[in-house]
Amino acid sequence: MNGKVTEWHVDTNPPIQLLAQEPKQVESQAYWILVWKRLSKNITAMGGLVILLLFIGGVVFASYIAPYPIDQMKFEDRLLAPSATHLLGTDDFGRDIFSRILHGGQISLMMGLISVTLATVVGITLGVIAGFYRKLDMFIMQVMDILMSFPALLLAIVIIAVLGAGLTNAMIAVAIAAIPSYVRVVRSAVLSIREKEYIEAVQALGIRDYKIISRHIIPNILSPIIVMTTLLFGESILSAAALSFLGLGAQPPAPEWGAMVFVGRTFLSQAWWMSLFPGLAIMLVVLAFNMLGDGLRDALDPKQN
Amino acid sequence: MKETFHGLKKAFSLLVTCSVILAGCSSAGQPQTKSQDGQGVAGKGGTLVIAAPMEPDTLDTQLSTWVDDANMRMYDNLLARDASGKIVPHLAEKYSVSEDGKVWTFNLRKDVKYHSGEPMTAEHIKKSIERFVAISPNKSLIGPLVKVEAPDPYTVKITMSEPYAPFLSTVSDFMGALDPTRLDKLGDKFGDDPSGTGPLIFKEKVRGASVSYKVNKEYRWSPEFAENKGEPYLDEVMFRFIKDDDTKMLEFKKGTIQVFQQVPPHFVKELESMPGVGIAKNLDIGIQYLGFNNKNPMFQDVRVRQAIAMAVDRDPIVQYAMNGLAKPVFGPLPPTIPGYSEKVENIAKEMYARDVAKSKQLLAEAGWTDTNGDGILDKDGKPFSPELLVAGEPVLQQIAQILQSQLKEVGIDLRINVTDLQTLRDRATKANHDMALLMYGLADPDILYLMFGKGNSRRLHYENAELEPLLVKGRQTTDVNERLQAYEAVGEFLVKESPWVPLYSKEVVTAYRDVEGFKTSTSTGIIFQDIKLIKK
Amino acid sequence: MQKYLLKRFVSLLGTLLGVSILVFLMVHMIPGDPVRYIMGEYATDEAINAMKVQLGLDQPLIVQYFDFLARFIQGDLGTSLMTGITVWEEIVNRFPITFQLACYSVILGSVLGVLMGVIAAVKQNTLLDRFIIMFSLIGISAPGFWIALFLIWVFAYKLGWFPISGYEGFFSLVLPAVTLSLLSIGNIARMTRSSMLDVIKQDYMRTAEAKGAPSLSRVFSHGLQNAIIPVITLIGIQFGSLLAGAVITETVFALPGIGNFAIEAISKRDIPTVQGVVLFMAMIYTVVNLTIDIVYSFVDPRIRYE
Repeated sequence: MNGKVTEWHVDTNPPIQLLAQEPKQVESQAYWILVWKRLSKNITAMGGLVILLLFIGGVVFASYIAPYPIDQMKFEDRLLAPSATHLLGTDDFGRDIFSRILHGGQISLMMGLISVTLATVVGITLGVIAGFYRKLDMFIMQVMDILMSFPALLLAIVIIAVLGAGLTNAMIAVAIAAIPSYVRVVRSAVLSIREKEYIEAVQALGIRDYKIISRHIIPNILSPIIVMTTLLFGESILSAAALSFLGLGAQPPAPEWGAMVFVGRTFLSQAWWMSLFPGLAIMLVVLAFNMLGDGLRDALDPKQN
Repeated sequence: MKETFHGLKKAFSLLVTCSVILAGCSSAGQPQTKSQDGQGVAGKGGTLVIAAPMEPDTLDTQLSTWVDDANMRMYDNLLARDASGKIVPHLAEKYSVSEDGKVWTFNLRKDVKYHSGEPMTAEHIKKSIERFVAISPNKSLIGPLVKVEAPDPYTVKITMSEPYAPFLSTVSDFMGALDPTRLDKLGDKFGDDPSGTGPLIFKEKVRGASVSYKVNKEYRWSPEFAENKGEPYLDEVMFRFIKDDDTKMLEFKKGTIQVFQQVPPHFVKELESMPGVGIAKNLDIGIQYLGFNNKNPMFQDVRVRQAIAMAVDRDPIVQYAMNGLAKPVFGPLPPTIPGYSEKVENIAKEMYARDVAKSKQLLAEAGWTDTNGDGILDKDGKPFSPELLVAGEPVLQQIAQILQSQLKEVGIDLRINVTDLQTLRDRATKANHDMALLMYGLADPDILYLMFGKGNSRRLHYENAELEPLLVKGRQTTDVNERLQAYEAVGEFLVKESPWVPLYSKEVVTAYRDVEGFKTSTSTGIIFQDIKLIKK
Repeated sequence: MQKYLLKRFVSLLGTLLGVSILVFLMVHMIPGDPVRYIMGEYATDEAINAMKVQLGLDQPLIVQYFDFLARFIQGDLGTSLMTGITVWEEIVNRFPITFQLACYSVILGSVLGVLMGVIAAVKQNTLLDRFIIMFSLIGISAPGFWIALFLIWVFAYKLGWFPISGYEGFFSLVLPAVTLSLLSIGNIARMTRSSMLDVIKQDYMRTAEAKGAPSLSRVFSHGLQNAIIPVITLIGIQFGSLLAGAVITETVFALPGIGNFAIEAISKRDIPTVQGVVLFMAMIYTVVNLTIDIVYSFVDPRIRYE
């Protein structure tokens, strides 16, 4: 069981076991076309994809879409409720919340992207090593067990206490906290591939390890990695936002979504919109990743082959 | 205020927020008028419940780094201060200082008794002072003390190695009598079952929740500012430590709390409009400031420091971040403490009224210009982009953002770094920073010696051979007028040198209801003697 | 079986030892001098050094670690620098709140989660199923701190049904428990649904159907019974992680539980407390997970020798 649950999210996928698909020469385009066909029939997954694309579009073109500058203070406009002029209202400095959410998305999504990339690279490397080189397995998994004995958020907070608050350190902390579950998934996928006879055959031919790994192992564990990464994306955004909410991530006046919710908290009784909308943005993006991740899992599920 | 970063060591900074010290001369708690409402009668008896800002670490004030009404009112000091900050007799009926300024003599009242009934004598005071010198984290406040003597039961004689003017402040804030029998019995654990001569008698402590006291019905030696010279009206006083401001507010509205200390600015308007609620505002003795690390090469040029001071506009800070509950301060001392000089404040105000053009000009003279057209000044290829350390409190974060936008107008790119208090202290103390948003305060102008004196400048890292003798003169001059002059010289020097940018002093707001005769001020604390509960 | 248990136990000890080393190292790497913090900034260097000697902080790190470990084994977690009370006592004072909160959240989460999961599975591909799937997804996607704020806004500010924050008995735990259970409901409903579907697909369910047993009893006696094992495991894991401190939720609601305490200790550089509390949380978490694994291995012998 590796369904480790953190306060902000489940970091693996309890409903369906992620097994590596049957070994085959997956480079075949046909397979991925099939997967896409299956995915495109899945309304939930497509819904997620659409939400995601909308957000990415809005965030990338924030400087064109946003109606107001994000840092300019206009005290006469402070704490205005949502209206036609300020779609989502204004904050305590009279800044437009809609514009800030658009720009803040760049930070929130980037935090997710970087922590996931970091976790993916380290996670795959360690997972493959643990699965492939059995001698290192014990050691790596023991370290992962140790890391997994911490509630993930607490681990991230302690790491930030050591490194100092800030965007970069928050991303590192989120990545470290996410690595163990990654390693577990990758390792068990590698193990199931490794047991297949043809790997032994290839090994017997004297082919170098790195070739076996890159040609035979990696392609065959892509499915769980893709699903895992998608789900982890949502989780990382959630974790990063949580850290910013605690004041450990993005620094003011950066319009990071979690940080905006934190500021809004002070004004909750006067200006609910200050915390409602940034939080909603977080939820929608994470939801989109989860919807897409679920769909991908179904589409890649070997049982449906 | 809780964990705001004050300028000095915790002890001082804490003092600032608490009632111990010199007064806000502002409205010291208007006489209660609103709360009668036609219903309810003020009378004897009952328990006054107070929402205190923070739980003191211990009730032994000699060991504590947090001293306020919640833990110091079991004790009396040798002298007291009235609401205007004037020093008045308390346990000592009168005092004198020798001509060389080194020997202080205090003549004690003869009617003072401990909670146990035992009469207080000079020996006990001696014992308490000696304990303070031995164990208190605040002991540096006592000055160059040589010895304490009790030549007769009602005289205390204290000898210093050199004149030390702030001693009077220390005596009014710290030096009292602790029950000698308890001291002998409990030693360092005195705080577990403390006792003294004060208006409150320790009853019980529930860690994390409250401290309860019985009111000392025998108390007849209050300082002269208390109106009730007879038996106090209240039976008990309970301090509750509720962490969350919203919860405090809710309980206050429900009426389960009668006194809400240190009301956060954003609640004040609502409370003011509530019928039956009284509001007392007292200007704090501390100053919030924007501090430079004066060891940092970036701030070596006085023109740069002056330019930044000119770029700052205090009005939006006071108006929006503080909801109007603060007074802008330009000079080194707030108007609430002795040594404050209107002259110095006016010089500072004139020099540092916001002037973007002049600020830019000074920066240009110092070599900072925008060569690459990105809107940020640079010099030798490096942008002017200092980091500002700020503690996590929302209000401070707001101030930091306002400063950021103001400095941007002169081409300085302030980077805000919100960190926990401990990291902030650590980095500021090690001079491992650029700028920090901090606070300092003490009821005595000697605060400036503690901020800028030789070997003391732990936050601002600004020491100056010219300034040092001026500061020393200030702390060694016991004559009030001469002392004021000494601090005017200090003030003028500091204003010119601009080693930091003072921003404001805040109003300490106390809300109260269902009580009659409620008065509080930063220097007297709550005057329990005069309070009557209104029973409905 | 005994061999398996022994193996798990030894590996648990190894993990805990590793955890203690990691906690110790991390805590000592946190910048900031705890002694300065207690003594105040104007304390002399001599006084600081004397205090360091008294606290053993002058010793080499390795000596300090073994000292810490030795005392830990004897059940001594040290004394909090913030409060002067032993860390163990602090934990004992605060853990009941965290424990209650975890219980309420898990109970609420399990009951609603299982119910929703079963309904979704039975009504697969209906509108109700879709609604439940979406609700569960939202439950696992919404930031807890944000949910908490809006529960506070609606039920504490607007309606005044519950306290805004702080702990004054059962009512203070309602909103936090609801906040936390939302995540559990999402997870448990999803797990229940999918494992119910697996079971339904299997033959004996069809047989039961052929026998014409009434639908509800069929679902519960055959389906749920077989589908519940992974669900119970998940519930156990949820419980374990909640016991290890619902850090953010406790912070937002200002509940004096151990999660909140840990955060406070970290920000005040209270080294003994951070060490003790984090280690305690990690232990609880590890032991609960081990218990689940062992129980699971009794139920499903296949995984035992993995």
